Amino acid sequence: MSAEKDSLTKELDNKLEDLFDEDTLDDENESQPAFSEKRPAETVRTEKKEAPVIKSDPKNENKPKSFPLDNLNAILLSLDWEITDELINSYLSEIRKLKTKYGTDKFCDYFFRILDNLGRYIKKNLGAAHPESVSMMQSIHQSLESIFLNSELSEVQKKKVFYKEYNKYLKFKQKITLKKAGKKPGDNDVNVETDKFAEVFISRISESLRKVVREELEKVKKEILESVNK
Amino acid sequence: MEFTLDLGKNQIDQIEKVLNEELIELGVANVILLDLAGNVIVNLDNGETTHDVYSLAALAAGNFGAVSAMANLIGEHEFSLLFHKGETESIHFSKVTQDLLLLTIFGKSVSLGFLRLKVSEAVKKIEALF
Amino acid sequence: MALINPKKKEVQVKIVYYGPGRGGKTTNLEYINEKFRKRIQNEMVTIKTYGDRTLFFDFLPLDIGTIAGHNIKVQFYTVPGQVKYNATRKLVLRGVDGIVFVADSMALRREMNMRSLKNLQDNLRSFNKDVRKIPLVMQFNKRDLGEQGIELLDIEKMNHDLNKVIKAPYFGASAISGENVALTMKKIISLTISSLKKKLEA
Repeated sequence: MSAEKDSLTKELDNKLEDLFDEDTLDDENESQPAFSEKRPAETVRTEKKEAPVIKSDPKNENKPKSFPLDNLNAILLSLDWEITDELINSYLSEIRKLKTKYGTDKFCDYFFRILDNLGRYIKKNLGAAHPESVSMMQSIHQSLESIFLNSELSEVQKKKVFYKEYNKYLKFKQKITLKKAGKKPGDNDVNVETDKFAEVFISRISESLRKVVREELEKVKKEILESVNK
Repeated sequence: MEFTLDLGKNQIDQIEKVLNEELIELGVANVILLDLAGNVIVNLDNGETTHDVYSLAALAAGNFGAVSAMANLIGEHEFSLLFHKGETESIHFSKVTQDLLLLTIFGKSVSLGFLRLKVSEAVKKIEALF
Repeated sequence: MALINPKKKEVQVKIVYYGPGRGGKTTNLEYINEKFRKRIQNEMVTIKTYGDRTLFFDFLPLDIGTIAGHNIKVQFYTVPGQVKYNATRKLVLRGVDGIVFVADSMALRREMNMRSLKNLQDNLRSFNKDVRKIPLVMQFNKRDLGEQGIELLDIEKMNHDLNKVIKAPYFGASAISGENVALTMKKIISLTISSLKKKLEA
């Protein structure tokens, strides 16, 4: 046995003696109950529990059996789990389909444009895209769904829904810019696309705003006239 | 099979660099690289977590082994996605080499899809180091 | 195999308490957890089903400070003793550095002790390890039951049954009262870390 091993063994045994000397411990532990009194709170126990009750989504109960956004919803759920080229392509083609079919409603059209933009942004950047991109898509999808589900929403209400989402989107874009600032320029250029979009969007929104205000004024005028004539 | 892992300081530094760049910067709270015996090889976090990483590693290695055994029972070599979703925190497991596991703990703001992309990039880079 | 992290100067050592079902493996760890709570900063993790049987394993991490310039972290595991859980036992044995074999002193359990030891030998062999070479401590548990008039195997006989070939250090013990529990633990830590000497001094 080498002298070195002796020193290691000695060091080890002294350490163990120090740490686990039961005689000195008894004084330290005086205030503690005997070990046989189990204190389960101090022990992490993973015990069998009843299976959790899966609550059904109350929102889904109001949904008709076949719903125009079902496909988009499924694709978004898949994207949340896994991002592949194939999935993003089917996402983009689904958006195109929806746009052709439901793009006549201007707020839906705006939503589709943003969704399309986000999709192309992820397709281009993949792993380098902002990690919140998919949750941004999901948030927009939810607002879009609320417009689809409430056919009696007025233009003003729809606009409110849209604006809430659009503000979130602008904030998200800011985050991308900040993220990009830390990287080399030219890596991703979602901004060129979205800025063009923003211009079109702002002019269209102000036009529609004017229209809505005009309509509302007309209505009020008519009501006043009616009540005066009565 | 012997689980000898003789990692040099340089190798550990390189692994830490990859995990930092690929995952911690993505917004992941905690990354643990462990071997299948439950030993912690590298542990990085965003500075805001205080998880008991040694217990996590022991349980993760056991869990991974149990799930692999389940895979074998149904004729699969192994499952490619191991993921536990919580209300605010979730855990993702990924096999790195034959003996190593990468455990990632992340919050709601990171989508699993992105995390998986990043993890597979990180895994490729780490595998290249061996 | 112990994991040595040259960057952090840290060594993780895996010690497994093995033995037949209801032999007192978990009770050993519970005693250590209770008795040395002030010295142990980490919490014990147990995965149990109804009826207090170990389903998967118990886990108790123990930081013993610096030895030979390395921060030593000892990780104690127990295995489920029940025969049917062999797949789980093998999982836990993966990468083991040291073993405490907890045998049941009750005369009725003689066969079970021997079967469990054989099972340990087979499982270690599947990892290319030799039960005669790995650091191992024998613990003949439940010595306290003799006072209650329960028939016990005497220590010499147990030693002959289980330890004739392995020739490991052995202790009579009572996990429930704590007798020789710490001694067993100190011995296995000491044996295991000494076995890593070459690596630590490299």
